[in-house]
Amino acid sequence: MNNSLENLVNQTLPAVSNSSVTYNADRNMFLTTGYTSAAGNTYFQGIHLSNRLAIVFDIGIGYAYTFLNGMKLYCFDGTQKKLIGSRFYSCRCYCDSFARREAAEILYEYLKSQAKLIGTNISDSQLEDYAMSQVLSAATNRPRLTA
Amino acid sequence: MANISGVGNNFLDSILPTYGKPRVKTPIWNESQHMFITDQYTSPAGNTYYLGVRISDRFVTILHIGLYHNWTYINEVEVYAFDEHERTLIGKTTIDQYYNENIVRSTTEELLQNYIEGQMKLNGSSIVHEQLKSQVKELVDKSYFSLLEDENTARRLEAVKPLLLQNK
Repeated sequence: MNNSLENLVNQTLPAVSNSSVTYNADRNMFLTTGYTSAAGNTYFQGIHLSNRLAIVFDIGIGYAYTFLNGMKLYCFDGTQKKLIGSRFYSCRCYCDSFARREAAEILYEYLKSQAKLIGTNISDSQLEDYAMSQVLSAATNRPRLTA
Repeated sequence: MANISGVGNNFLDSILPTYGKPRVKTPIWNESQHMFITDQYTSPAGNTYYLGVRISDRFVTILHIGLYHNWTYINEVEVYAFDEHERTLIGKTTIDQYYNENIVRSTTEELLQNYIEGQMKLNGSSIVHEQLKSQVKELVDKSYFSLLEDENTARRLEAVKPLLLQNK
């Protein structure tokens, strides 16, 4: 993984609050260094990245399970990130398929609301398909951020 | 890039631009939290802050929210009376704890209730406390609407656009 891309991610996505990221090729995800609580639970963020979208998972590792505690989606405005949706979860085990479905739903809600605000008429099915394609692109394609 | 047929790339490129390109200046709606997100700001320390704006016919709730690592904090709640022209601050409180929707909702209800009770005292009128509590709860419930389903939103949105279009 190109170190300049990791640097760019650190600059562009400082929602990780000064925690640096490393790229995990197995998961195709950037991972933050994380934090371990006094109770021994570890919390970190995982980031799927495409040229249009950043999907940030709030992950907690307990004694026996890995939990998905929350999710935030960001689009880009120039080189700055913009939060476009978020969800919180309680006692939800992390699972790739669930996480991707949720991310696609959040993105669909953003697309639909923007269509309403701008006054553009697009069918729900088209928005749903596009949202899922963008999420899968971020989740499965090699990440890049190019202006 | 996948296209949506019949619409072209313009709409998608404007709201979900590629890295480096500007995003159209429209308000951002967070459906799961039933609020607009505005005034997004990232501090030099890397913490992100934004305002959550919930609107109803009679008042506007503004939430000061902060993101730090995995955690979302609710820092402050403000309630404004809003007559579709001008807003007036009627209550404000600092919370500074993990974001919890129940806490936000009950804080909003309390601020609104305190304001109405104060106004009634000034006017020399009174209301049964439980009745007021129930009516305030109903008012706050109405502010948790869905932009995707509520037909009145477009009308209300025009009135609050000056409030929302302050994105940093």
